[in-house]
Amino acid sequence: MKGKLKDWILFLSLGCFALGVLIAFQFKGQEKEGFPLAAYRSMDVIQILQNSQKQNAALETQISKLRTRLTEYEISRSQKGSLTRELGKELEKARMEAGMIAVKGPGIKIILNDSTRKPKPGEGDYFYLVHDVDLTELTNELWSAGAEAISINNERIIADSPIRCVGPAVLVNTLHVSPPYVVKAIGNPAALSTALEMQGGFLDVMQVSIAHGVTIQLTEEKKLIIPAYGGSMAFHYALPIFNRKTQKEP
Amino acid sequence: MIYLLLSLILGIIAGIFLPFSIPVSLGKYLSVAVLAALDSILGGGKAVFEKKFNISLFVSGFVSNTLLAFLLTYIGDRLGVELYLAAIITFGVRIFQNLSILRVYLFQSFSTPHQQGFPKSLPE
Repeated sequence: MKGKLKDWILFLSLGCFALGVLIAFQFKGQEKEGFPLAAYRSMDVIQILQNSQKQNAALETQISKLRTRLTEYEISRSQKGSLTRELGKELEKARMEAGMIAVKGPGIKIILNDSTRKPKPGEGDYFYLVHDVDLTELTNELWSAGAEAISINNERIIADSPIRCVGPAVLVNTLHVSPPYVVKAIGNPAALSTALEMQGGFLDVMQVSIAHGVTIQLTEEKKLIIPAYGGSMAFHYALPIFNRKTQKEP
Repeated sequence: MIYLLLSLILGIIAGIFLPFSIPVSLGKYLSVAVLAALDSILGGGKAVFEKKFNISLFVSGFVSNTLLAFLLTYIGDRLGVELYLAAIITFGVRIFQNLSILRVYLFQSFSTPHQQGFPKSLPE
């Protein structure tokens, strides 16, 4: 009887041990990943995303190479005459406005991050995340406060930059950016930060999200560097009109 | 009883301090495995009280339950049907049943003071 008693204690204890290990693993997994089962199906997509990002990077280096070559041609041409030199200067200015040149200067840096808290059962996750609309609103306010150049996670925002929601990430131009979002804006630091802090301004609008754990850090910086726009800029449909008289709709 | 609790706590501690963890994609499998283990332990405990405890039955039950649950989960994943719910429901129902039977046995064994310890003190 005694031998038998030890046997069952031993085996049930082993079973309990295994159960304990499994439970601990489950807890660890939950803690680490936040929403484990929800994230599961995106695993395959991540691979695809990474591949296309690599491809993107390769194409971007190609673009920048071609651009430098173009600049070289322009420089060599502009040295030939004063008219072409003037044109070259104008071209440079236009490029600066278009965001094709990296710029530096004082401004503000805003870091936005999703909440680390999980939504309560039955509650939507809307206020726990930083959304594409938040970023568009932010860039909008920055432009109207006199920002001269803006980047999100080092992706330059230009005139036709889309900021759009693509599942868990946000698409800026052709780049998938994920939190933390680092928004840099060059301009008068005081003016920019006041514009965000004023009543009804961006920070005010984000109060609900901030209460749910979304973090927004605003710092005024003496020197910021914002990279040039790296994507392509092709016009397939729009044609320029040079004659001023015909610029109005008939 | 104390041995069981001790080894459970020991297992949890070991699991926390083990340097590796199971990837997210296997979370479903893990949850099914937890249920299978709990079910086997309760079933084993019940068998002890009924004096029917058999090591090979216990071990083979533990392994085959877990394997079947894994298989169901895997097939469900392939088919896009949440088949693992079947395992969860089955284990869940059995766990509660076994627990209630075990409770009855436990109360009976404690309410007979002239016989000390268990499973010797089992009422027939």
